[in-house]
Amino acid sequence: MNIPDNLRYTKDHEWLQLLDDGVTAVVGITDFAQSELGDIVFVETKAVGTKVAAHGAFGTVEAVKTVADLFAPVAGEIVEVNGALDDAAVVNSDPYGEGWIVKMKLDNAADVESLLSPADYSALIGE
Amino acid sequence: MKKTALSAWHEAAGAKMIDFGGFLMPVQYTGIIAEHKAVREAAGLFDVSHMGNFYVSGERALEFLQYMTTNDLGKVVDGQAQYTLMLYPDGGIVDDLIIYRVSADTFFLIVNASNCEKDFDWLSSHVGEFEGVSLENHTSELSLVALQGPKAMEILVRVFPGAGIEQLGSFHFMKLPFEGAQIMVARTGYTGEAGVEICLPNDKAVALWSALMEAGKSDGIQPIGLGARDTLRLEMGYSLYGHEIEKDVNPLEARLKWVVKMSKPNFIGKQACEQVEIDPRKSVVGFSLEGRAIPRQHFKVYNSDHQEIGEVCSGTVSPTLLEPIGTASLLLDYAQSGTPIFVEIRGTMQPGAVRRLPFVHTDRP
Repeated sequence: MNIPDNLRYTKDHEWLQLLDDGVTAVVGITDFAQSELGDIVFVETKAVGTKVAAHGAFGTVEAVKTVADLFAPVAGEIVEVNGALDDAAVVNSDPYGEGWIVKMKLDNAADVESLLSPADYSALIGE
Repeated sequence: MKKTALSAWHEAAGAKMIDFGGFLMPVQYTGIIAEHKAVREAAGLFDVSHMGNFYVSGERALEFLQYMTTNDLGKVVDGQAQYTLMLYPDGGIVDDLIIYRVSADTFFLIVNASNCEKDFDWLSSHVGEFEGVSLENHTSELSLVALQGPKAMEILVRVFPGAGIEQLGSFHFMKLPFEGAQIMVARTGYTGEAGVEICLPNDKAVALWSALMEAGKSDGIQPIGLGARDTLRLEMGYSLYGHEIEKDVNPLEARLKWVVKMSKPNFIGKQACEQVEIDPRKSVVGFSLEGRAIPRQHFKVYNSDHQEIGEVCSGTVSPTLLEPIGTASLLLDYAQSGTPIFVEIRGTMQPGAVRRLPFVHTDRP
């Protein structure tokens, strides 16, 4: 399972990458999550401008077989939703790249330190 | 968890395995959508060995099964099969099943995996009333493989040349020799496509599976998991126990009147069906939704006045039509195709309409 070194992770199988500006982060679901869900057909998120608490639900991922909630890894405001998700299969094919889900402006960038490291996440999914 | 004779093959092929009806079964190999399309466009091979297999035999076997099931088994000849139901006295459904008439006094039954024990117990509890009838459970000895798709028959004929399989009519079956064993090939299936279901001894399952995969290679045959099996059956509007049909669902309220033969002198559940026939309250219908959110089982269905009118039985996104589809049990007033409905999905009312089943028309010969 692909677990890039430069990202942080949650036990809900999401990843977060803090961008160079130090306040904005990209959020998506992990390779493990897309693999478990199977064919993803629809991603729905709250609108740009919505404030979400840490662990707050900000959307859903619909796969053919099941549906999963998306939880904010840390608190912040949704500032962008990935337009490429009109074709949601991109989350299966490229979960860490073209298949990113939202960008968030973080309330407190230091919150990122509370997230799982790649090694911790790897252990979580039993790899 | 029980394994089928093909479990090791599935795991080696990289299938995602799940527990289904107490068996370790492949839910998908490459992906539900790709597998679904392979069956609609070429051919797919399914391991459905988890399903239950019973033999019922004896001079009064036909009489026993006529009493236990709703369809008229008296019309079925040797080498023919029939889709039918077993009911409780209150008209609720024990299971749906296929009965194969091997001879005048021997019948073969294929039942749902998740109901196998319950069905066997149900049949056992009544078989004593029919002297000389024996009931045997052969589930653990037999494998069941389904080959389905527009290329299915061509592929099958390559493995069994000259056997005359292509002349076999729908819901007919024949016995064939395969590697020293006798196997049963039936023109039945659960996808709406042409094809067969093949019942054979466990120790021949891998050999047959491999032979069919090899023979179908040039046509793009794919192994198909339970995920695509479900989307394929739902596009055709076929019932699945635990969804459209249940112990508290009467078949006359589940689009299954065609398998309930009220003209038969007697069968378990007949009186209850007579009551429902006079005054049916609801019906299982097909529907599609706008947007892309997928309706799931038990989601509530509403009319234009926001009154609850029923609930979803099964839902998916149709890999063929690329829209959310499903079946729902609705109050009879709303069963007409074209009726506008709303399905509540995570707090949002998704608009849609009742649709005629099947959703997809195949050219099954």
